[in-house]
Amino acid sequence: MRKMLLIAGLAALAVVVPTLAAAEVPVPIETEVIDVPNDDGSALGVLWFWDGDAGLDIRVTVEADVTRDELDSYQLTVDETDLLQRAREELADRLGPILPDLYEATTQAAELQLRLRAAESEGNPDAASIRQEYWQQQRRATRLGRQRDKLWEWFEGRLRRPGGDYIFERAQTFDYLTATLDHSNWVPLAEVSGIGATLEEGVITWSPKSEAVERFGHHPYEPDKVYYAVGTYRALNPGMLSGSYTNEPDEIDYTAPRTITLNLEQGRTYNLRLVVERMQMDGDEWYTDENDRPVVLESATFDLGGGAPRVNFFNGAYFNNLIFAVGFAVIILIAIMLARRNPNMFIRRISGLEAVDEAIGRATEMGKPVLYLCGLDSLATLSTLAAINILGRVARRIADYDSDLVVPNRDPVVLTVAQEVVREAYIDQGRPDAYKEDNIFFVTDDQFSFTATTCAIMMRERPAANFFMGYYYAESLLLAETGASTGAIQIAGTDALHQLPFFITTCDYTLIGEELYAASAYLSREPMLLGSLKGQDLGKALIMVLIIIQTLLFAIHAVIALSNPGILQQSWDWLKLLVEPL
Amino acid sequence: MLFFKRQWPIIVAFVCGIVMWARYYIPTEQSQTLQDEFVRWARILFGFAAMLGILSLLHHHWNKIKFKRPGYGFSWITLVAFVIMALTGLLPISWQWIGFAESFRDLDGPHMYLFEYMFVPMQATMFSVLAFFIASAGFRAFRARSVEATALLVAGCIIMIGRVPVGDLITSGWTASIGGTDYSILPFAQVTDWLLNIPNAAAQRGIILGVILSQIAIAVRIIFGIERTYMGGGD
Amino acid sequence: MDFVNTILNLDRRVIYTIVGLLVAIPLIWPFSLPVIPTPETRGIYNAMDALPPGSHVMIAADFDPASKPELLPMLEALLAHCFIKDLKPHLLTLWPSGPGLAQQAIERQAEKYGKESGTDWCFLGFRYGTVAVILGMTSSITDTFVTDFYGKATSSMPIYERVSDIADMDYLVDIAAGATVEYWVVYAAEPEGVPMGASCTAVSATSYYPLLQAGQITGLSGGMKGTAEYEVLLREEYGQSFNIPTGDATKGMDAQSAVHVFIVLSIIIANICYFISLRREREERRKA
Repeated sequence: MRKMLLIAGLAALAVVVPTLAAAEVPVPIETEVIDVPNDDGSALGVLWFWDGDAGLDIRVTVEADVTRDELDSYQLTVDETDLLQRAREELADRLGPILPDLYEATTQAAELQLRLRAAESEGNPDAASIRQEYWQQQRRATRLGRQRDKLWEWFEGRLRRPGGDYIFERAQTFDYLTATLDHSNWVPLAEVSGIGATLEEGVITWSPKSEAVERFGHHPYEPDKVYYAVGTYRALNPGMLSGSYTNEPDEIDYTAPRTITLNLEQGRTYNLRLVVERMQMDGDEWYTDENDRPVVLESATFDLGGGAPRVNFFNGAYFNNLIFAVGFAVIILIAIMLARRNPNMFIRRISGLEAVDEAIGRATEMGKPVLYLCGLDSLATLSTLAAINILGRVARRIADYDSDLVVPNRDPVVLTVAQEVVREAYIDQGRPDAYKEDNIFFVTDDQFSFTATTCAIMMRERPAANFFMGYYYAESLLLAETGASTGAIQIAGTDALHQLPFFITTCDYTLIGEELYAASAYLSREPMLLGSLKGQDLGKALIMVLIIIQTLLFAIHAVIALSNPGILQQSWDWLKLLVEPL
Repeated sequence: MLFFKRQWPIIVAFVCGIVMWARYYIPTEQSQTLQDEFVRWARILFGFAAMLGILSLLHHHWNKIKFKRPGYGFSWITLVAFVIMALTGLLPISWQWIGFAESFRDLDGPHMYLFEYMFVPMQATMFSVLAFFIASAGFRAFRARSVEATALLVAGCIIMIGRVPVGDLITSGWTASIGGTDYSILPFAQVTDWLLNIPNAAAQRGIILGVILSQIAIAVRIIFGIERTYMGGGD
Repeated sequence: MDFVNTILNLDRRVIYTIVGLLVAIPLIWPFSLPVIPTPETRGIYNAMDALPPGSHVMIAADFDPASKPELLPMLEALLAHCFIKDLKPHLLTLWPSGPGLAQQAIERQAEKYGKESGTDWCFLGFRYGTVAVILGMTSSITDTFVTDFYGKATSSMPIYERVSDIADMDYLVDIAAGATVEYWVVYAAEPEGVPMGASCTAVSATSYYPLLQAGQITGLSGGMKGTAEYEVLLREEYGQSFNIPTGDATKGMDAQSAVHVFIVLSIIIANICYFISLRREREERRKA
């Protein structure tokens, strides 16, 4: 009787304990597999709630049922297999004599380098001879390395098809995928762990023991659910599965990777499942066994259903960005059209630009040149374009006044454009004879060498007026202070915010930020430039109105939310959505 | 021929501008490939621009030497320095008699030697001249002539002290106890923090907004062929 | 000429001499002023320190020898932090004269902590193009930098086994002497969702406070002070276990403090003299 009771008790325990243990693994509920919105069709999204506590000891893996159809795209034809085989053999034959010498030379060079460093730090007289040996081995290793690289280039040339298909890589992917699918058709897509208290938007979570760092987000339509996007899976090296993997190079000096990452295929339906495992802990980290593998205490698998990644042809998250961009562009174009009909548009006085005539006149009276700099950036920077624009206007005035213009340049492309612009300006004013190409010259590409040269020009030639237009870096103070010491009148214009204080303190007039861009419209009074300026102002006014409205709503929300937390929540979310992706 | 000088650049700018603008909103793989191609082309062009810079430099200084223009001695120095740096960087030179290694990447090599002991000190010297210039510019130009100048002056002084350990010393060293809590008498660090994070950030944002809108306007003008300065010459 | 006029017409060279002495003397006889880290620099430090071993960090050394005293110590400190925490730095530069300094820094730190190129770190070197290079790396790092600085193929390096583009980075730091911080934020950090920190020259730092407040960068280290703060944080935490000496930026703070105090005092004195001279002029006009 006692024996029977004991057996019954043990049997009950055998049923209850695993059940209890299994019940401790948190269960995902209300799971959903969706296509990731606004992507290039390479990812699926998995959403779920947790029923239970998901702590640091939980490892979650999303797995996909990868069918053998996937192998079709990596399968080699008989000819390709033959070609690969022959190329490998030939490469092995040709590399055979080189590789042992290369390895020997590389190893010896590394040893000699260590010995050399030690000898030098000790002041050892043998350092000179060690250095000689090191150079010899280094040269030998470099020469052999180049031979090996050339052979690899030849090998790749033979096996790469037009369009980028590389037979060698395809064959390897096929082998890896075959081995992986032989092992199991359920392939892990992503592994996430330690997700207990970090189920919040944008918080990074990671496994204490793994290299994988994954980011949780929240799906815009289901913000309360845990959301995870999966798009790649790894095909494993057959050696990794059989336990025979080494990362030693083979007979063609190739080190096979441990895994190859493959993307989910667009339009193909994948069945997904969630594997939730409770790991054995060692303090705050997972416990690992003698093979450095974490120990799984319990495990449960949950089917998620199927889904297919689909390409999205429009990124909906950028919709508001598109509206703003198109709207602003339309405003600019309409303003330009209006300006063409009514060219007498008002621009407020910009004192720096009013002083241009004064500066040029001063230079003419003193018989000194005018120095003009277009900044230190290339033509790709819009402030340089604005500076070139202003250069054209200034050059016209200078041609009129019959003064000299000196334009040192840092960028050769800017030099070419500057020469063209100044020449055209002189021609327009009927003074082609006065144009001196040598006055617009290239100095050097280096920042401080250019600065030193320009400062030297200022000290030697003592220009009466200096124009610093465009983008500047640390040399702005050097240039402006040197110019100030020569007594020149200085007008600067830059959108380099951190250089503005230096120009403001040392120059007579400074165009701040967008005044530089407005300058060409101001000087020329051309309808299209004036219209564009007006359009910008309208855009700015619109942004200011939006900022004021948002500020008011924030304030109202903050006041009302004190007593009624739910009210205006939606309007706040709507506003947030409006500006978030911008 | 005039078509390639006048109309063709505008067509290219328009097509590329619209395509790359539209591409931003299309997340497909082909869109990404298109961007990669453009980026690859841009990298190649930038490389050629670097070559162009070198050729312009050589041409300019050679002409100066040829026509013996004032200061042509410096042009000789420029060209000789250029040749030396280029040769030490490109060739496996082994200067055994002065104990240099052969590879340019070797920290013992002649290229790195010239970089470390000539180029770096010269560049650092030019940059450090700024310290002197700031001192003299500050002394000369920071006058409390108006309300704005006074505000600039006071803010500048507070931040100059607040951003060095002396500011932290003064902040933590001079305190007064009020209601059991210690307050700094001259809270340079806190005021600096406030100045940088509040008025400075607000002003920067305002300027940045204005600048960005201007840049968008110029970009729109370039794309639609209204702005043609980049082609050189007249409008 | 009285004192007021002397001050107002003071020769620049006197100021240069005083500044020169105030820089040289503290460097020769340091008085070791304490450096207190600010929240801005802690933002970078905490983000780096929170990364688990094996995380990948991209460090862009976008500066040249002119900014070496301010920014090279920051690069060294970041690399030391990476190697102490077993993080994997991917170092590159977008400035042509950057590779020399970056190479020195990474080889020095790698040798000190016994780290191997290609496995524990990678120095990608320099490529022309700035924005084009950043955009290229958002697609593929190994395609943009086919070989590293030393000529080895990046695609076969163990460090790139699980990393293909910038989105795979766990943190990004731009050490910038110019405006590259904005490019990294706009083209890499924001679109790819990689957290980022910025270290820049003191002059540029003011421009990046809006980015810091908007959360586009987690931290901002401005100038030599910011670098000194990072060095102090690193020494406080790991100084004893890893034998980290006092950093160059920390040593430079004494000189910087002395010069700043001098500049402020000279401005105050100059303004006092200016007001005195204004009052004198008014009195003379009244008398006249």
